[in-house]
Amino acid sequence: MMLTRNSRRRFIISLVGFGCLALGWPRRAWPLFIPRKQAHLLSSTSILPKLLSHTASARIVGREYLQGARHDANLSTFLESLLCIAGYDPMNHTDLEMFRQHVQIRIRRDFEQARVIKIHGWILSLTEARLCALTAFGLPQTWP
Amino acid sequence: MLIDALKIERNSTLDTDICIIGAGAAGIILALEFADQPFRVCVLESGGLDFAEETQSLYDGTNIGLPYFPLQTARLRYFGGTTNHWGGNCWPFQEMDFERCEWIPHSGWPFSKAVINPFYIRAFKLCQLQHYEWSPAFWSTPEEPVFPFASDVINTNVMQQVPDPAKRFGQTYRPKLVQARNITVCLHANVTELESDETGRTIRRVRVASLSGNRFLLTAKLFILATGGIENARLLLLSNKRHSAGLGNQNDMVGRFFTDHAACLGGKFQPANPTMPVKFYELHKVKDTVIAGGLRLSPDVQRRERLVPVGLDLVPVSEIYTAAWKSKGFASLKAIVNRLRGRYTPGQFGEHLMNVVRDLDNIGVAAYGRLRYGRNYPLDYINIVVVINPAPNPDSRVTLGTERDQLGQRRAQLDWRLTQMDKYSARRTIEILGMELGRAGLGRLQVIIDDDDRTWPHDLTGTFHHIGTTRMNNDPKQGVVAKNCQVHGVSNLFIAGSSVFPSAGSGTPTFLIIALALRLADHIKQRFR
Repeated sequence: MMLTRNSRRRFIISLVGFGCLALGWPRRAWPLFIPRKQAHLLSSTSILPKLLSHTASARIVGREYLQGARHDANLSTFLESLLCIAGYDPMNHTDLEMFRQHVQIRIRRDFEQARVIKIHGWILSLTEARLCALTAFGLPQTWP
Repeated sequence: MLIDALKIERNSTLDTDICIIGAGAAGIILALEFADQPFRVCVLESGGLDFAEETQSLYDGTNIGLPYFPLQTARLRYFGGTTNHWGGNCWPFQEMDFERCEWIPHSGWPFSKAVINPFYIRAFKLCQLQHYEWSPAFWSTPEEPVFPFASDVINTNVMQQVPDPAKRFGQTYRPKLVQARNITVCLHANVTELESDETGRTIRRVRVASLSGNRFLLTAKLFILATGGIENARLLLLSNKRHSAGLGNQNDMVGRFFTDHAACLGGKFQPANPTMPVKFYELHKVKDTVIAGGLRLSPDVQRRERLVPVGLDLVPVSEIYTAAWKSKGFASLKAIVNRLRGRYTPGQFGEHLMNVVRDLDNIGVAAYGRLRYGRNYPLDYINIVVVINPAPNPDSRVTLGTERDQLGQRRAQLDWRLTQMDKYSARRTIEILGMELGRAGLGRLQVIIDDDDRTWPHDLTGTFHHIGTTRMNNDPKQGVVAKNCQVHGVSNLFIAGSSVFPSAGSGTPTFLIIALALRLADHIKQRFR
């Protein structure tokens, strides 16, 4: 199925949204990454909070990740492999839970196999950092 | 018998069989073991029965190394020694602490943990603790569980706390020592020098001085130095009439390898679940014993990663409630309640009352937190404090400074140093903890300790554990005492206390000091049989 520009956007938002939810982070963890005011500003001008709890923070983490790994050739294939393995169908809502679980497993496996990255001292799994990176270059500053 | 040095005839010479210098944890336990034995024992203690500023100031010294506590505040100089403010924490050293680790220079003891185990059990009884059990499974409860890690990379250890007043050895054991027919405890008696014979291989007598100006000599068949990790070295270095480098210092080993457990904030743990139970890792009472859990890497991981041991202490923080509970007003309120319940609390009642009035807002917050959440208040984060057991370092040392104390003796000079391996180990341990917390889905961890292994954070602190300055090694070129705690080259001089530990180790020092004192007591009793 070909994705239109809009559906592609929605798709990425869903991906990151559920990916971030899959991280299982509490809300109070995120403000540690970014100033509260900035988060609030982004939240108020964006529709993203409806889909993503912590888009702004994820974006900042993502940017940091991309700065440290500019030539991350794996990033483009990462998304593909993630979806392929998960068998995710963006139109099928029952798949979302399966996808979320898959991301969780992947994140835990990252930690187990030391596929981690340090961003502002936080030890993050490569999967979660890459999900954040997708937010960073996948979403406009304001929406729509 | 309890006597005062002030009342001993000036310039007289007293005689005994065993002279113990210092009445702290080691000295008191040795004397206790010698009670009613067929030999005479004299314990020389610098202080009196209570704290006195003038005596305490004999501990003053200079520090030229890493930031450290002022030396006069890092220990206590009166009967009971530092047990007078000991926290009472007991956790045995582990097997690996005694092993030679090829990646840690100068590591290893001259015997294995198995040798000290029976003495640990005896020490445990002396400390009036009840369950010689160190497994978290024994101590954890459904309400206070250990963290459910997904692997055995991280181990949980359990520390037991000696109850009050048992941990105040001066108070607890004074009656028994005073009643023992063969023991004399002499207060206000400062040993200024150990004097050997012409060969330098036997100690004949010690010179004793009191701050009031009295002087006398004490001869003995055997001497045990038990004045703490800094003073033991200082006294050997000061005893330099026969050997200019100091007693037992023919290989320039006395005072070297000074170490202390080094602590600093290592990381912040953000739990996935803000109501995650963490009480197991705080002081709490289980089975009539106050315990607290701690975390550390398993020995296998430590070996694989080639690290020095690093303990991880958890300090849960609930920003609002922690600040309120730590406030002056709330502390005073607790003091008032304790006093009304008939328990001793320091400070003036009126002052406490004023603190409560001035700090009503914090008390309100604290009270609300306690009433609403009890002990399970919501967490903001958990600080992870790293407690590093540093690699033995010959350049970290105690020497004699240029300043002199009231008795005319050169004061101690401390040059505390740590190595890059210590810093790397701390950071790496925190990183591994972060990965294991993520792996178990417990949350995420932020590493606070930086990547530059040549520098140390500003919050680096010692933990009042003075270790290593007369370290144990069977090779006189590698240590000051042999495995039986006898000073190399001196037939009748023994050392007790943490100064004989070859490394800081992962257990608590006082518990091992007591165990080693019991072992030394057995050895000496055998010798006098």
